[in-house]
Amino acid sequence: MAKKNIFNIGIILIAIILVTMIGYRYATAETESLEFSGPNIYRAIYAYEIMNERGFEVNLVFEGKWTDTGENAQGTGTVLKGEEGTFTIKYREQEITVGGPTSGKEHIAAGSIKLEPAHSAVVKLGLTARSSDSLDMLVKELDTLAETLVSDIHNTGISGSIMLDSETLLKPTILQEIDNILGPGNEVEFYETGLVFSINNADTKDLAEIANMLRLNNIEIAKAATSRMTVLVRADEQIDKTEDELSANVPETANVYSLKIIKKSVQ
Amino acid sequence: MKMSKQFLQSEILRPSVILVIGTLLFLAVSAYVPGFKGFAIIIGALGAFVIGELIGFRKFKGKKFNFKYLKTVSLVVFIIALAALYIDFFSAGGIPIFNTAIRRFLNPWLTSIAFLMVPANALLISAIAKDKNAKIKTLVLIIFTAGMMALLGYRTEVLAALISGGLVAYYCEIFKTKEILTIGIIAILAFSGMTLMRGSASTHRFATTVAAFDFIAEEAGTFGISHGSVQFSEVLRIASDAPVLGGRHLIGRIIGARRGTSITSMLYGPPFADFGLFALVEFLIFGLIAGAGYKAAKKFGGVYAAIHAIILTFLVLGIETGITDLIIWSYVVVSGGFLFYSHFKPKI
Repeated sequence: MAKKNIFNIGIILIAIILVTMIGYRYATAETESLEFSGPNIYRAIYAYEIMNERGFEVNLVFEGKWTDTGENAQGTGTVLKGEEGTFTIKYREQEITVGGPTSGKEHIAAGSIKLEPAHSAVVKLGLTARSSDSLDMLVKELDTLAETLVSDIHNTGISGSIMLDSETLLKPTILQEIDNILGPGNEVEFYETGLVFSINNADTKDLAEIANMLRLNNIEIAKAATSRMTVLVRADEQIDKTEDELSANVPETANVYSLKIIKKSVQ
Repeated sequence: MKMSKQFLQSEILRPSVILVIGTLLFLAVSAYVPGFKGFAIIIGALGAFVIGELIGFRKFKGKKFNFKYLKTVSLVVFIIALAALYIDFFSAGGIPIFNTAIRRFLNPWLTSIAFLMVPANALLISAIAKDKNAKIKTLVLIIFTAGMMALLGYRTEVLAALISGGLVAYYCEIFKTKEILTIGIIAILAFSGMTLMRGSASTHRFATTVAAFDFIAEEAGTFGISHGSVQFSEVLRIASDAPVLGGRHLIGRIIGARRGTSITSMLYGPPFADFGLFALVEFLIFGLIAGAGYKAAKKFGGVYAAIHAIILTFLVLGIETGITDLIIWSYVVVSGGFLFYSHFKPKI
């Protein structure tokens, strides 16, 4: 009875067509990769958080539209921040935001997103608290340490607190200039005779730029002191050595209390 | 066999068939497909629903129910809902369909009361089934209710008015097969039209919903993560002095969306976010109610048809939105309670 019912046959046919369509999509889906469709930006941010947590700098390849003009947009930028359905990236020396395909608030409404690690591996170092006579010296110390471990350095990321005592009276405009150099994820507190940096997402080049800017503004630093810091030496090529071999290269004066090699951006 | 007879004998209106086809259709039009866990959850939930439906269909032993004042009561509720709608528009300062910004000024309680027009419409249709000119009266009621709900700018309620009205009219034998199919086509056109008016015709909206569900499928674990705060946020809000985040806003927070963003996660997202694998029990209960209601609607029509139509309609519409609104939970509780009462107290 039910077998020859035209409506039942119709239901089965529709179900088969739909299952085939979904099956095809499933087979060509974005699973296990770092490529995401625009609506899946939340998952992309989740993946970015994992990569960032592992110390990797991440590039974002986007394809979509500029929300103000509606023109097609595609390009690659370095991710500065990823949260609440929005990426902030550095694109052609400008900070822009990338959202999902229906976003109107962000600069780019992305139809597709791809995350790419900007380098191959990371040496993650734990450093005890230290002090130097200047910010320049601190930067040099960190850069020298990085160079003893890795030959092809992409950059040397840092996180932790740095306090600077100034011999000169500071003016508030300096705060904005520092903020412009550091970008999102970092904070600066201002005192008349000092600065406190809370750094989560900066590298030694940023610190060198700040030191240079302070010098150009005739601000003399009397002392630089840090909290315990994490230093991320990012390498462009894979690291062949073991953690023990690298640890043997670290000078005792560097006061490194932990060293870990991270070879994959996601696991 | 005539087409109308074939339609009558087909499985096309079986709740599980509608739910399966609806889910497949939603997944097929979405630009994103869930992962393995997501599919496993959907299959498990539908399986639990089918089991519940079979038990409900086979075991339900309700009797024909005649409520003398059904027409009066449903008419009173209908008028109260209409009045609430008018006051809602008046206090908001406009009609949302003409200016979507007005929606944020609507009073949630008045809007909820206005939504009662949909079940009142279904009950009223079931009450006038034997009246003179029942077909014309039914058509006028369905179009009027859908029109009023369209003014609010909520597609879900417009579709609910059309689908539930059409289903009641079918079960109460007011409409014939061809007419019910016509109403189905009008419902699809109304959905597409309102989607276009709201400017979100792309499949991105569906893809975001599926992606949100998929995220929850992976995060929910065995016992869930929100323990009732997604599905029953409005109940918690009544009981709590502190502010309570809305269910779909909480989904937004879980998946990491911007603050204040409301995200739908399919019919399957909220239960699994709340209770993990134990959400299967919820689908079993949905199946029980839908199966018993389907049997009663086919057999007795009348008020059973109205109850079944409402439950089925909101289940189907919930495929996209999920069931997180207090008013829809109240329909489920009242309908389930009525069927339960009818089953255990045969002489009503």
